[in-house]
Amino acid sequence: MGVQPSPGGVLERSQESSLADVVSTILDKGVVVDVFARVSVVGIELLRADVRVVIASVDTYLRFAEQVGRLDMGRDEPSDLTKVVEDVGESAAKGKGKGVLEAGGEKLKDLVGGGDDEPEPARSESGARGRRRR
Amino acid sequence: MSASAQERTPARTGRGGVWVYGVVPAHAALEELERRADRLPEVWVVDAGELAAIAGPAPADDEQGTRDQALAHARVLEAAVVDAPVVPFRFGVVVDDAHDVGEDLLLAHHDELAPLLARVEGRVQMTIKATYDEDRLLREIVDAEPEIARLRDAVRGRDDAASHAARVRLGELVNAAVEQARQRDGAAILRRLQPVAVAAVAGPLEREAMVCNLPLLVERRAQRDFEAAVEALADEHAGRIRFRLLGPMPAYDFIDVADPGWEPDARRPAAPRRRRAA
Repeated sequence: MGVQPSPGGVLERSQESSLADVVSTILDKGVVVDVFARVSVVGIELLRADVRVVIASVDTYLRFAEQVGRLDMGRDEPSDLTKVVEDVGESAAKGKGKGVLEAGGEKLKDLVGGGDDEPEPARSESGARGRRRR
Repeated sequence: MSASAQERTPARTGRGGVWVYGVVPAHAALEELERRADRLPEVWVVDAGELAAIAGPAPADDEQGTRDQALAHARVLEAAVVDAPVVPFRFGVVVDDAHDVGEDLLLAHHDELAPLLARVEGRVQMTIKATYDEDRLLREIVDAEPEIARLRDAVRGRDDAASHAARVRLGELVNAAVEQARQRDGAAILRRLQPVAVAAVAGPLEREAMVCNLPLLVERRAQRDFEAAVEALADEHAGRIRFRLLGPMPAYDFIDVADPGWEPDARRPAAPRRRRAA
């Protein structure tokens, strides 16, 4: 329904979501009620790490400096910065999210910690951002 | 009480239990979900009272199973939201074999779920991901800020230890300028969309060159206007900012009871990169 690309326009529409889009869209969002066992889904921490970007580190500064330095020099290589999450599906970017797992960290533990194969005991669970059951 | 909406090849054997995708009104005509059946995993619809759950077998307990299920979760709900309001469930929750989706979920939690469903009635989420053309932005910044241009010339072609501090300083200034541009452009984008959206939240940036990751709640009847507004923005910023539009999708970012993100003060500029403090 209504999901046509704008004819001749520059707006990009996705007919079907990519894994990268999906991961950033659905992770840590949505409703949980206490009848549910949240499962420890294998590999979810990799999905999560893939959508994080380390921002404003010295490395970032140096990359910016390099990029600014070669602006006007006739080189037109694709920037490293634009590829960070392009390939989330294939690259298990293990270290990429290091140090930037912020609010998600606690939920990450809920999801992947503990007895891997056993559904966790049902309990009152907060939703994406603190949904509480009465 | 339990009605199978789709009958297809069984999924790989998972851990047992029933994966819950989300909740819709009972007897919703999920035609798009039927239409896309051959591209989606096996799902069924459990009706109980005035609610229904979209459910399916839990996925294989391995990494590939998880990735496949991430796509499945989003795509099943994307198909459902074409025809009905959807309360999306968190990825990775399963009703174990000791419990019943109809009794223990839909009936027992009716009083929590029904208001959520009412809240998303007639509304969908559309997410905008706007990203700079980085070289163009950096040229603007060098042109606009003499100190950056000066430092750039000073360190140009030098990659030695002596220039390290200057290069860090240069990058720091550039980074600050990028952040300023992001604040300004993100706020401008949001201002343009407020008239055609119910609410917006600032999603986390997914790359350094991103202007904003902006989930918006949109009335279905305003969807055409909304899309036209985004198209106009994309045209105006062509060559400088690239716009991608995702959705319609369930209101993943607006379903939280305690903090639905749609009070007036939720309409803040899209620049903060953290959704919220912990």
